[in-house]
Amino acid sequence: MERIRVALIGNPNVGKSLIFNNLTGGRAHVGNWPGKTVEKKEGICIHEGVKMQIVDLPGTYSLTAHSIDELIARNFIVEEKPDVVVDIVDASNLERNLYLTLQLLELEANIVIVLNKWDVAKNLGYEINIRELSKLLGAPVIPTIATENIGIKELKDAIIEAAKAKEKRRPIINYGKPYDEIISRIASILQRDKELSSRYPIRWLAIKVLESDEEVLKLVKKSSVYNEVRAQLSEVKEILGGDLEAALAERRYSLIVEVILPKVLRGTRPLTVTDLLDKAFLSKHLGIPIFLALWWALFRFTFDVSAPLSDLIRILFSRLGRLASTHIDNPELASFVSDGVFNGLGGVLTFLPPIFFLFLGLSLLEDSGYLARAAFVMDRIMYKLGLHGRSFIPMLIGFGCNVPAIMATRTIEREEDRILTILVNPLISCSARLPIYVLIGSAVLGAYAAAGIYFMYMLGIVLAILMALLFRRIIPFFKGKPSPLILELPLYAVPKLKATLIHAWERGRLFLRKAGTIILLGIVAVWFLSNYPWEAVHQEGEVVLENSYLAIIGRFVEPALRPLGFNWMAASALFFGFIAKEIVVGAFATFFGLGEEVGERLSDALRSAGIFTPITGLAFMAFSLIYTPCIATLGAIYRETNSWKWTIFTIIYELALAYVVALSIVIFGGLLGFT
Amino acid sequence: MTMVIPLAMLQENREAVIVGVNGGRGLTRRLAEMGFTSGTRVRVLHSSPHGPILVMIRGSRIALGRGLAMKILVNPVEGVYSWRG
Amino acid sequence: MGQRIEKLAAIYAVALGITYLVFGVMELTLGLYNLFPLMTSRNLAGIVPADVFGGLATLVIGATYLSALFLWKSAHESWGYVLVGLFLSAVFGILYLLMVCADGLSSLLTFLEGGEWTWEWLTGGSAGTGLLRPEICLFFASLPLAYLTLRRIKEIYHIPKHHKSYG
Repeated sequence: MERIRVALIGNPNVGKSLIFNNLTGGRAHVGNWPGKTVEKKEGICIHEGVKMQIVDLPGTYSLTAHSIDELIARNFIVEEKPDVVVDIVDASNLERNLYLTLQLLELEANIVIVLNKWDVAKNLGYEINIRELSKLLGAPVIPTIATENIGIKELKDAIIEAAKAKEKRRPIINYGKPYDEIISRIASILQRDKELSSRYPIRWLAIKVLESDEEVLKLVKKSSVYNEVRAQLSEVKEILGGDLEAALAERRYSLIVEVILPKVLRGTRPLTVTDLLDKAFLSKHLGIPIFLALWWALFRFTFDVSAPLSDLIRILFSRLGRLASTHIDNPELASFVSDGVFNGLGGVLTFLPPIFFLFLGLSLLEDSGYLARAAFVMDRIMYKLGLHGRSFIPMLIGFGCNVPAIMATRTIEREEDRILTILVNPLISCSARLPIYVLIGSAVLGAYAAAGIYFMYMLGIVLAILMALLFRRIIPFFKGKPSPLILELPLYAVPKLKATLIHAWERGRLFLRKAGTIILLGIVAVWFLSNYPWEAVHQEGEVVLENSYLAIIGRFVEPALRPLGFNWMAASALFFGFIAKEIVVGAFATFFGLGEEVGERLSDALRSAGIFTPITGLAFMAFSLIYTPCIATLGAIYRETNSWKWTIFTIIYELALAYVVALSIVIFGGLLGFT
Repeated sequence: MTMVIPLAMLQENREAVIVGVNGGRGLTRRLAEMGFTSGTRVRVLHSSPHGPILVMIRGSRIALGRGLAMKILVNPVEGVYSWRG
Repeated sequence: MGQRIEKLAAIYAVALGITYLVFGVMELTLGLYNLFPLMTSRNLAGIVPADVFGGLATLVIGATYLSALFLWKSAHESWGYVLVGLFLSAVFGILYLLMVCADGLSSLLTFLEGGEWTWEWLTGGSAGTGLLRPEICLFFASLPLAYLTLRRIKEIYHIPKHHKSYG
């Protein structure tokens, strides 16, 4: 079978993911670009006897050397030389989208242009002359409506056709005087370097040199012709003045507006329903309240609507567990299978429904176009808090789970802003901590249980803000203001259910793979430590927890935690919370010899054992909120920051903060007269 | 004499033509890429005292932080964008 | 004709807005009482749940509708507020409906596991007062306004029938 390599590229919001899914049938292999934290999506499409290996390049407006996304896209095209590059253009937004197209033509990529959102363009009253566009750009142009799967077959045909014509000449983009002459001059100098000219498109190199592109300059510096080039450059700079990069950007737009569009586009851009909706969504007074209301709706949707599914999973696994323990004779093996494995699997999978619902909700918000508006209204506040405007999305996700929240920080461009967001994110109360709050709250806070739980959520938010402000001020690395907002707000659209579900499932699956294994291992570890040494713990049909390794560890740690009013049981439970926060409740359940489902009985048991007083209970809740993130989160932090330094820093500062806050609660509580 | 003001000070629903960008190289380049070049027409869709600005430029809606908008210099003109119907 | 629709929609929107506001305030107050028990009785009146954040959200919906007062002067940009109000009504109406269904499923599961079957989920549960929750009724009440509004918007924006083909 013939094989061709195809790359997909385009601006954000053009529907690239959907087209990728339409082409590859939704089966994608997701990994990372080598050495980077940016996601790489690949898939296969077989059509008319040709196997297309499709790579989804990061969505970008341009191909400069200034951001990782752009470099990845650019390097892939230049180094890997795919057979075809599919440039996905938003037909309702031609002017801006053609900018990237021009850059691709500079790169001499073998492009096929897709005009997606054809229906939207029509509805807005645009008329686009496809034949003329194709002629001017020297590339096939395929109109599509990705949401209806229209035009996809034609696209596949066009890709195969284009691959056959890979070596044909590309049109040269003229930038007019004096640029064309200068570009030619520099190009002819560079031509003489055999290595450069055999590996890279010369005219493109010349243009990049003119723009003082860092990466290209690095290449050229190693060349023999470098000095000549440098001489030309300084001559040029004297005549034309300093900033050629902006000047060339302007020229490209001029080309689009003055030469291309007049022949190709009819119809002006009117204001639409989107602008009507924005009146309310972006309103000075209502914008933020509406966002908060929608956030609350997302919250409720995530936890309450997914609850029966979680129940179902839990019941299923406890049944499996009972089945195992009745049918397996060897008590150790039986315990391992039912309490260890099934309990563990159940523990992980009950987690899945809320996560999936969260991603579903977020995908709906994103695909409808609202999320960008939320970024707009939250920007002012985020900026004041020393966080980048887009930090609020990871904060939102953090209420579900910190792991995908940290992964979501990838959209923040500047490293300092991104790392700061990552560092404070674990302070947001993730869903795993809720069982702890519910347990302790109902055990010792009585009527104030609900208030106590609300308090924990607020505490998390407040602390995250405080720490962000503190770090900005104190740590030199973070000094300075967050980078300013430049964000395109797409048109509002009704999300297509299938696309949103795919979107949500992709994210959920990733999370499951990464965090799931760790939590499972953690639960098995708890099982082991609480059941061994076997004979000591299982004496005459009774479970004597005091003799287990778990208890030994707990007693070891206890002295450090005694000022906070925690005994060895609490200490052991916390220790396991390090592995996964859900395990804390599981640990207490094990102590009292109860299974997972018996929520109310556990809190009764806890109350009568008198382990916590209302104040120390509250302190425990706070401590479990703040102290070191679970292993899965730590893993995510390490992966996204690429440094041990920050990961360890997180552990240390959170432990310290947890101790301080818990201690303060105990002391204040004591002062106020609660015992 | 043409009036030149920062984009941040343009009122809602007013239009203007960009005159220049008063910022460092990185900023100017970034804005130019997004289409904020001299001679380009913009219309302010949303603007409030301390928050970001939303403008219509080259057919799409771009949100800009206030600080950025203070650095973009424009010359106010009469409008062409309108509601349909 | 157009003018009349505008006025009609405005009255309707304001009516909805006030209703949402009232319920929002009630829910919020009840919710606050429950957090810090000042009253000994949890007064639901069977219909209005105690819900701090839910109450606040309902307040927001009310405020959005009321902003459509501008429609009175035919400033047709204010249709935006009505549209968003309708959107929010739908979001919360459907959300609470889903929550009631989820509660029903949970009850079913408990029953299958050997517990008792109750109908409590219809009037209680996660949504506070189940199907009697005001936001659910108000969502249905907002549907006529939705019909009116969408028809009018289509007139103003000449939105053509959806294109299946291109060219």
